[in-house]
Amino acid sequence: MTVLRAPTDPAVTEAARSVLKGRTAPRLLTPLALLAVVPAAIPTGFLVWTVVRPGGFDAGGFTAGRLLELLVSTGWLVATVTFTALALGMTTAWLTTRTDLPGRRTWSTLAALPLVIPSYVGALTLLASSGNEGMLTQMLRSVGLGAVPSFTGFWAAWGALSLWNFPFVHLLAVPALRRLDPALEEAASGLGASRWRTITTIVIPQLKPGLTGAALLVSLYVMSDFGAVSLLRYETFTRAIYTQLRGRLTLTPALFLSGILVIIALVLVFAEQRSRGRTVPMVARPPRHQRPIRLGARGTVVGLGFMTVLVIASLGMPLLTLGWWAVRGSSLGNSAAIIAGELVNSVGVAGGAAVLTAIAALPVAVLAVRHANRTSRGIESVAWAAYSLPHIAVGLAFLVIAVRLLPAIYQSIPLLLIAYVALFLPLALASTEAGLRQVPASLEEASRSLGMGQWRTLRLVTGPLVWRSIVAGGALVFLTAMKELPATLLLRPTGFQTLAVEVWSASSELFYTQASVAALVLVGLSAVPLFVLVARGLHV
Amino acid sequence: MSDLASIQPSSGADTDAPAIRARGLTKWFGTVAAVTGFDLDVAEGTVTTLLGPSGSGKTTALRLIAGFERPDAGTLDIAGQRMADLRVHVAPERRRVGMVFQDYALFPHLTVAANIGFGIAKGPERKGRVAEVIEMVGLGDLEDRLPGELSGGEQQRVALARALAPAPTVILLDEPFSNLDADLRGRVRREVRQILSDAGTTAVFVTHDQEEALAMSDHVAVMRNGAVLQVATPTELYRRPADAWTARFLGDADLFAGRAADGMVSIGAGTFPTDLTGAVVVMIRPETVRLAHDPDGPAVVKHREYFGHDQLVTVSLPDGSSLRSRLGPGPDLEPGNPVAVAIDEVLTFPG
Repeated sequence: MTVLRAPTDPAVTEAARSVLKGRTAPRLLTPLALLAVVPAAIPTGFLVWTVVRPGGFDAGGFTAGRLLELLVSTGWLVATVTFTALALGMTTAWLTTRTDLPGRRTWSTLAALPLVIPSYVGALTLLASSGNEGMLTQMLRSVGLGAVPSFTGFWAAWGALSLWNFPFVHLLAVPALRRLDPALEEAASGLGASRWRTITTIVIPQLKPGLTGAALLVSLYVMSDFGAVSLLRYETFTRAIYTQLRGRLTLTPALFLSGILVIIALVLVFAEQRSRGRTVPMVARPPRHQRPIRLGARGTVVGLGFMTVLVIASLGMPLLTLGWWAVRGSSLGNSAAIIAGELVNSVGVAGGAAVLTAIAALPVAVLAVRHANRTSRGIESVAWAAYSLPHIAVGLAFLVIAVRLLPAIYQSIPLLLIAYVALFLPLALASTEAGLRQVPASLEEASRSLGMGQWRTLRLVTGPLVWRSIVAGGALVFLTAMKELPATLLLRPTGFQTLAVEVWSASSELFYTQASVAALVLVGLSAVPLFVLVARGLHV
Repeated sequence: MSDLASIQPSSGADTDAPAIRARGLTKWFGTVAAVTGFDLDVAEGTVTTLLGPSGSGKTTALRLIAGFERPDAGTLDIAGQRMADLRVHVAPERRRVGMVFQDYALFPHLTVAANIGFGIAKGPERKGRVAEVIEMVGLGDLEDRLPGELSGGEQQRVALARALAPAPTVILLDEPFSNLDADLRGRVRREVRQILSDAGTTAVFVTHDQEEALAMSDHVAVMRNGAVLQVATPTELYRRPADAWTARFLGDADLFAGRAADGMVSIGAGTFPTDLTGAVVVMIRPETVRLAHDPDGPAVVKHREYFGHDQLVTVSLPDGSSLRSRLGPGPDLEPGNPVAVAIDEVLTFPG
């Protein structure tokens, strides 16, 4: 999953609007943009209709007691993980931005790196390191000690989701902490406020909008997570939906659960957007250098200890586990060839998704950037809608629609690709729009006034300036689609294995070597965008 | 670039048709009329400036001429050719109109030479023309640079050269100097003016800077609320503005309400001749007011701002009203000094 925001900067959109008002869009652009968001509109519309249709829900025999159990178990996981991730992420962000912790730049990057581990891969590493067959048990046995119990159930799910979600909080909190104007804190202490009072009355209120947003984001991710909870056998909505699908003749109970899940997701999305809308505008001038807080000898030891344990748990252990199983596998004569088929499948569908999504994003982006009006904003929000919904619900919606209306494409690659376009359009859109915003409309007008028509302007001016952004957006879609699990699981043709599906199914069946080799490929691919960011000199 | 002492508009004006003729151009954005009934004639080889406060529709008028906007009413001819009316809309690329944008809009991925050559048809003459234009704007050794590597003033000249290179019928400049530092602006302005008159190009500027408009143009068209209020030469405009709003917009002025009778109007500052009768507004520009030390003078110095090259002195008149005077650096007037007041010139408008 990726932190991604719709372009809502009021200054940018306002400026764009004032410059672009009155520019009429070329005739074909709006229909093309509408066509591009059809894949996103289908599941969103279907799920919303499932929820609000007259006559209410058809629970399909699902009892209220069972529903309550699910609500409690999901809610409890969401609450505990959100709290833990906030606490961890805030601590790492504070230690690496506001204190004199040795090597804080490096620690800050290390705290963001666990993002390369998809939550189901994290869950796999928990399984593959513990229990009777696990790496830790085998290591302990070799020195004559006992077994490590299997990591499953609530505590495992809580640990996995906290460990692999706190980097989001870290990434959101670091810039927020950096932006804090030290003058405000100095003013407060100058007025005689104690350090604690300064923190509670000046620092926390300034961070609050950002923290609220981060909390809602993490909640949404936890609620939508399918891979980790299902591997670690903790029952939440997503797992229950999948269980309902297996070996049943009716889709109704699964659809019912999806409806409830979507309602909760929409509430969270709405709340998150509202919290963003009310963000206190930060001071525009570059912040002055903030004097780091001295940790002292004891504080430094505690801080370093905290960071070390966290990095080992979230990054070191999982990589060690995957590596251990992969090496063990190859020493047994298994080579990387065991996942060759899956790799080809993954690259194929993810590549197809990348190309299709990048193309679909083009008319939407041009319309949004060059011809901002109510229609284009509406089209854009449709594009964003499916992205925020739990993938298992979106996958189920496509499944139901295909079964009922288009049996020909049920369990076919085209349906899977359409679902990917629906799920990942915002990734390509954000990149393409950012690229287009870098090209002022006056460049295109200059070209026109110099005698070039619309197409030649596109070829000679706009194209050369935005193709990198389009490719970057496509690449991001590619990497994200490689990792996608729940929708792939529901919509793939029978027997069609991707790397993500392989990780999931092989770990369920305790084939840890196969799962680990596939997982290592996914982790390596996930690391690419992060390395690009680091290479560009952006501090994470 | 040489400083220039005086500029004469090139005299070979085409007698057939003006370079630009706009009649009743109107453009609505939603429910807002950005331009209403815009009329303008621009003679060939002259420089005309659209001057107006922000929101007066001057940029929209320019974009209508360039073809980036389609008018909702009115007609537009360039060099006698119909460019736009209710039925016709000639695409911008087919109007032979060059444009210099406020942000210069240089193609960031192309070198200076490629930017300038962009609008010239491919062929053997292209290289020669590019060299010629580069020479004209004095960009000799910068051909291979990218726009990002140029200073603001250099970018400005590339933008101008690029617009001039295809030898357009008309060149339009949208606030071209607003992104330059104040001390650079005057010099670049003179250079651009020189280049334009050397090229003999018809040009239309847009600006909200009165001084710039008066200093640059053969004709100034004052715009307000989407329409042209007055078109005149700079001297005529400054000395005989059509109304009190234009007069104040063009420069410092004090206004006094009075009643005219028998060809005269009396206000605190004195009695002046006028063609009007009834309620009038008398406008006095500070530079037409002279002050002199006079122990018996009727006015008293109230306030003084000393700028070095000149000073702005405010005096209280016997009837309690205030009048400002712009004087040279010489007279040493302190608040409280009694002074005599002499006024060279006033303008009166219907009140």
